[in-house]
Amino acid sequence: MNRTRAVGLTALAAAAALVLAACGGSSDTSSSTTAATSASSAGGGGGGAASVGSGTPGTSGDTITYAQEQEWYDYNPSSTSGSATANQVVVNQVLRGFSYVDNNAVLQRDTEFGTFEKTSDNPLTVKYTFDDKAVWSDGTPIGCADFLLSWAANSGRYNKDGTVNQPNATPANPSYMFDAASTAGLSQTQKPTCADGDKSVTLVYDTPFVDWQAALLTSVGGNLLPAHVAAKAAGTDTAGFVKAVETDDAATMTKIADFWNSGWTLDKAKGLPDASVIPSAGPYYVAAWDPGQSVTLKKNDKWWGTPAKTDTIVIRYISQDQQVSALQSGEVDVIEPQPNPDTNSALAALGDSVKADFGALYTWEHLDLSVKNGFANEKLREAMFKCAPRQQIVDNLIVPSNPDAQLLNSLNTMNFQPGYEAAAAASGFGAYAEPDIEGAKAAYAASGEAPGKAIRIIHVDPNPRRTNEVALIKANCDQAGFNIQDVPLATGPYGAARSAGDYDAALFAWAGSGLNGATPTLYLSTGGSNTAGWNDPDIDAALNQLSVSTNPDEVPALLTKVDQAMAKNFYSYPIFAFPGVVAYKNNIDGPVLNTTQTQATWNMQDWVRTG
Amino acid sequence: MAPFIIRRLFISFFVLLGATFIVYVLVASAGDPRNALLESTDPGKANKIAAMTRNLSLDVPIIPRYFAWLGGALGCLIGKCDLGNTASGAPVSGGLAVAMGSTLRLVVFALVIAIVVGVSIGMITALRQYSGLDYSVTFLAFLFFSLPVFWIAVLMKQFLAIKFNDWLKAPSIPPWVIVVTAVVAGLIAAGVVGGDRRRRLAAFGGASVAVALLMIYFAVTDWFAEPRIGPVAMIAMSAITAVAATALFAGFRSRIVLYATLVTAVVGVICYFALDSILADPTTLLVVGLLVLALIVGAGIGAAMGGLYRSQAVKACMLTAFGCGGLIFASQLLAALPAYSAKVNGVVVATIGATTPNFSGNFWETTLDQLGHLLLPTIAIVLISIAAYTRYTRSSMLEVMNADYIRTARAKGLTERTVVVRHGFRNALIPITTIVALDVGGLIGGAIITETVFGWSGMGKYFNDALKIPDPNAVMGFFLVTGTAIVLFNMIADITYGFLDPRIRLS
Repeated sequence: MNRTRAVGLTALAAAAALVLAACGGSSDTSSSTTAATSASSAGGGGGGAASVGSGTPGTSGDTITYAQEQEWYDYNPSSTSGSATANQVVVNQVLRGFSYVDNNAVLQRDTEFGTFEKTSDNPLTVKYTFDDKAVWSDGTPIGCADFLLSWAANSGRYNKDGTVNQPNATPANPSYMFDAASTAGLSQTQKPTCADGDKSVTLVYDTPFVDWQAALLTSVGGNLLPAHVAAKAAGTDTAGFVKAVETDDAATMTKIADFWNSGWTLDKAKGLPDASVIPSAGPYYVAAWDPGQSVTLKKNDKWWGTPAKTDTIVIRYISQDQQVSALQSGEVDVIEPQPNPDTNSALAALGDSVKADFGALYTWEHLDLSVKNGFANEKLREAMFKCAPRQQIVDNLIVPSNPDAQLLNSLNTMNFQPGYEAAAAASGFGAYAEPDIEGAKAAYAASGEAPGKAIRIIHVDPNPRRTNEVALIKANCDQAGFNIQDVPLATGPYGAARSAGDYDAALFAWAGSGLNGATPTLYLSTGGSNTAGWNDPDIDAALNQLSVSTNPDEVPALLTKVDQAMAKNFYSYPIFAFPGVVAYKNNIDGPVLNTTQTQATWNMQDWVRTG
Repeated sequence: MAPFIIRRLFISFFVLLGATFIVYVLVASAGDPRNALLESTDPGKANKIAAMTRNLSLDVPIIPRYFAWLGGALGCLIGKCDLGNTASGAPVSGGLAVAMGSTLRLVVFALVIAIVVGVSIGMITALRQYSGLDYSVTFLAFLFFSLPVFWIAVLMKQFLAIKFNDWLKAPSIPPWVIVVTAVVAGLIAAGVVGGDRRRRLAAFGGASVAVALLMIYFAVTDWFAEPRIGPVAMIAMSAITAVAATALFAGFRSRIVLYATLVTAVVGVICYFALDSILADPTTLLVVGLLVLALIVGAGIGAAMGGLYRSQAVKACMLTAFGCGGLIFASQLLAALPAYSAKVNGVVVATIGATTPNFSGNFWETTLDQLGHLLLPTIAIVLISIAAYTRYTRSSMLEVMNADYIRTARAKGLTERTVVVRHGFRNALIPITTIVALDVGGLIGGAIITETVFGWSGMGKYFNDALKIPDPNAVMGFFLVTGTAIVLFNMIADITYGFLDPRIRLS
């Protein structure tokens, strides 16, 4: 009974299936047509097109994807917590300013954003004029209030307790209202005055400042931020804010500062802040953020300058050693991996489908000799200079990563900067390219030191390259009479040893920006980073003059004086600039290696797909 | 059970407390996060150091700092969590939640596959002990177990993603691939079937010819250019599902269960044709609803037709319904593949990330996008976990199958199927439960290498990044989540023992 019923049911079902199968033919075709239509609409590259969908080359609707390792976490790159490469990469072309440092670490004026001119040298007076058409992407004009917010935040003028500092008067225990990454430069200015809506502002310096052209820079720690957003969060408007600055109204300023400090900090759990909080003043605005995965920048229609060449830039977060395979698979178009023999051969294996731009970065390796410890004797330092296999270090350890790598012969000007040739020729470091063992022996003998003096070279561990550098130095300098000891230290102990000056020689790298405001701290006899005890009146004089030099043409000569004195005193020798590379698909045009810390996206508005 | 759970919770709490103290002190002593700033020429260096000191309370000695942190963390018990800030000043909880979500998405899928496949293979190799199949699986298990993930990952990216995507643009199957695949399939079939030489030979021949024919069909019709599950394939596969489900739950001694599953399969085939318009662009809710509905219908058919074998029939029909639902789902997914491929420029199998940025498409395309990104990391995790599961299941199953009660069961005259599935397998699962529970706890801690290599910012990467700084608050956030997970899953394992083994329940 059961069995017959089951068979009957089966038969019925089978019959039904056959009937439906007949209709199935038509439903099949209809489904394949929908598939085809959706495919073609995707090919057209509408707003919904995916990032890897390239759309039609060179037209609107195109997307270029860039791989970056460090994740975005703050819209305000000027605050202490936000001033990091990770954030600047995103806002390079979102928050522009009056000037920027280009890929070769040369300061450029951003005339599309606005103009500025020095109207007086004594006192140093600079007149800034925003472009007439300058507006935030929400339509609010850019003007006086935005300038004042940048000034109030980065001048260190307002203290948490509501008191106000005077120009150049740094309190003993500063507790500023605004957590600005840097107050250099603007702390020397007087409070600018302007009325809400003004398009031009005059800044008067109390004392001259070498980087005055970079006061409102598009860079890590200097971007202009939307004052109307901060004012709104503080319960007022731009006029109210301008008034608060004018009257030093502590209550309003505190609210503004609170927002400036943390209101633009991103919370992964909440996602991208509302568009009204993060308006743009550049060719792109931030359109989407997928924490841990990507940031999407779209063309800002309100941008008044040259429009971006590509509609959408997607920044994907990919660790450096995975970027080459992502480029190969077509998921990204532009990458900035760490150049090393492995990366280079992987890139080379991709052949013509990829273009790679190798070069040096503004991070230079050097060996500091401590006058306070093992190298108090000048003849010993001379011996150390003469036995240094600098060219060999570059050839053996850097050329495999950067085929064009050159020996660095200046501490203050990099190989890629204009004027390097002259600076290198004049510095005197060129004499110590190849080891001169005989000369080193003679200098060692003249020092009166017994042979076999132990020299501790400290460096951060693990770092195979530095271990190899020390090995090469030891192979040569031990012949001259030294007993070089490799002292690799973990970051913690290394930092402590270097800042306390507890070393005979320190092998490490400084990262620079192309600006000169920070140079004095490195070499001045009282400089905070000078822990080797260097003390030369020539260096101090040149650097003190540099700090207040407002004429860019004077700067190279002063830097050369510092180089010459560093070489003459045998204080420290440069070895190489770190290698860098930017690689991109051969159908992309525009990316260039950026030597400074702002990464390849510094010119993303010029990237374009060509085929 | 309740007092047991409460006692366990109580002890676990103090274990966790002690562990947090040790970990906190270790991480806080591991290094000073401010050291990274020492090599910077940044003019704002002093401010940054001050801010980091403030964010991490670095001016407070370690022990009081731990108790301050503990105070905030204990707030989690009353819903006022304060896990502190990271070195850059963001709240720990936000980043942790995102990392957690990402890891769960990655791990759950992989874990289910690893358990199902690993346990099945382990069981089969135990039943075919010392066969060619057993040796091959043992060899592969040890091979995968010992392979470094980063290396496998690189190979997979190159061959399963980049090369496969290129191949998919103009798919052609060379003859040698057909031959090799057919032979391998034949060998597997022969190994699984076992028995005397003639039986194995028949299995080998049958399987290899079937696979060869299938591959030739794929090659001739250019199936990979426009993949789909056609009506014939759907009918055949549904029938196979029905037969397999019957074999697993009831055997073929009584035909009633088979008829019930076949009816379910027929309903499934009808749905395959009928649901096309509904499934054109469904919502996730609709798909889940349909799956639940399918299970209910399956259970209904089983209950109605099962007669004396009702409970087996219900289970078998539900499995069949699930299988048919899966086939319909797969056929829709495959149909959406060409459109999806065009949208992502042919990058069907992704090498990096969790999704294509800003991808928008219908349900099937977004599902394909997620699956395409899950594929490689899942394989990486599965290959490694599967090796362990296979080995454990095999040895546990072998031990059980040699036990006295199995001999008794056989002596009673039970079918081999009943002996294996009801008496053997169930008991063999007990030790596996422990391993699975520990594994789940461990995997929630993230698969650091897999995540890094495939660009998933999950718990593993979160922990790794935090430790590099080192940022005690972030590390502790991570530790709190993983520690709790391990404690919880251990307890779940203990409770599961009770369900698997009545003796444990009663004591």
